[in-house]
Amino acid sequence: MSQVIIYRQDNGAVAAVHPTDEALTVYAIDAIARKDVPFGKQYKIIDAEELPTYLSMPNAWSIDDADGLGAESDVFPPDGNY
Amino acid sequence: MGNVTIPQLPAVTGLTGNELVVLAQLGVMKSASISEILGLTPTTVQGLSPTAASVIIPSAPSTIVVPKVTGAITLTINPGTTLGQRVLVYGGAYAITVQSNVSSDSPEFIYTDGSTGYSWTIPASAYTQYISMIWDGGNWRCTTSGQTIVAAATQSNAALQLGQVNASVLSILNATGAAPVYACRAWVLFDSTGAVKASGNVSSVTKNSTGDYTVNFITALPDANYSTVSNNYRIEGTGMYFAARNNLAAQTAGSCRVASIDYQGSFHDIAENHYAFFR
Repeated sequence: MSQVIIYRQDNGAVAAVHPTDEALTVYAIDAIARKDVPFGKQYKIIDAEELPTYLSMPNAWSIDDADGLGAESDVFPPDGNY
Repeated sequence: MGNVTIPQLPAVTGLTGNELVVLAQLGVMKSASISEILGLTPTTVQGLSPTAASVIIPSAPSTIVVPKVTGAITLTINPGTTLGQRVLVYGGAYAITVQSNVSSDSPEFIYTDGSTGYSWTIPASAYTQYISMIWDGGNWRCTTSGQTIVAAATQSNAALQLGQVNASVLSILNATGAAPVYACRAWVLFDSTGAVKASGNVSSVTKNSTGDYTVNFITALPDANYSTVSNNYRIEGTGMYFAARNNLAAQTAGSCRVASIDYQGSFHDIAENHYAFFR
């Protein structure tokens, strides 16, 4: 099952970040989330099949459920880890 | 080198060099140097620094030639005398042409790609370039190092000068003419949900809202001034839609915000979104 990264945008809508296969062969999805989620935004990693639920109900998930925060840099660190 | 024989003696083992010398002094053995007795090859190096055109006569297992010249010269290399003998000629301030002592037959220069010749020129100011020649008993086996320059850039196995394009690369790309070739730095195909079907140098696609996406690069582009190329998409009975750059965010080196829109600029989800990024 593929996974998707979601975060809540400033307007309250949920954005869905779809990692590519090529990136997942090198980096963990958490590293991709840190790089590609805007700085300071809380993100959550879900199964792709759950995505419609989160999109239709943007407030259905709580910040307490977050898996991490978007990092300041939008490039992968040399070792792939933050 | 004198013959080294121990006639009419049983096999003797465990002798050191000194004991062999003693045997030689007693007349049991024919006198020889310790290195000859032990079968050692002298490790001498012949160092030469010619200041003008010269004939290099290899007289040691290894001959290193570092020219100190005030103009271009030619060095003629005499045949080797021992298998494995090496001649190493470095470049300098002026062009150094290294040539065989013949212009036909042997010895010739045999290069790593199988090509042959009778001379090799190290360009001027190529201080770190050299030609290394190993005597194979009849010819010189040659390797070159540093900037191995080919005038017409036609050899696929040769290094090129800055700005040169290897002809075989153009051939692979089916490119003709003199126009330069620039490569796509990232590309992606994703569907209406933002799920990626295939990509190159793309870490993810973010769906921000209907028809509004952000393409994130694995390795950032050199700067934000790249060209974003996108497609049109026709939907039967509905019309034409466009994949486009999205002005909701400026291009950055690390990502590009894009959109799928109709002819009025309204956002739409379309099934295929194609993007390529050139810089």
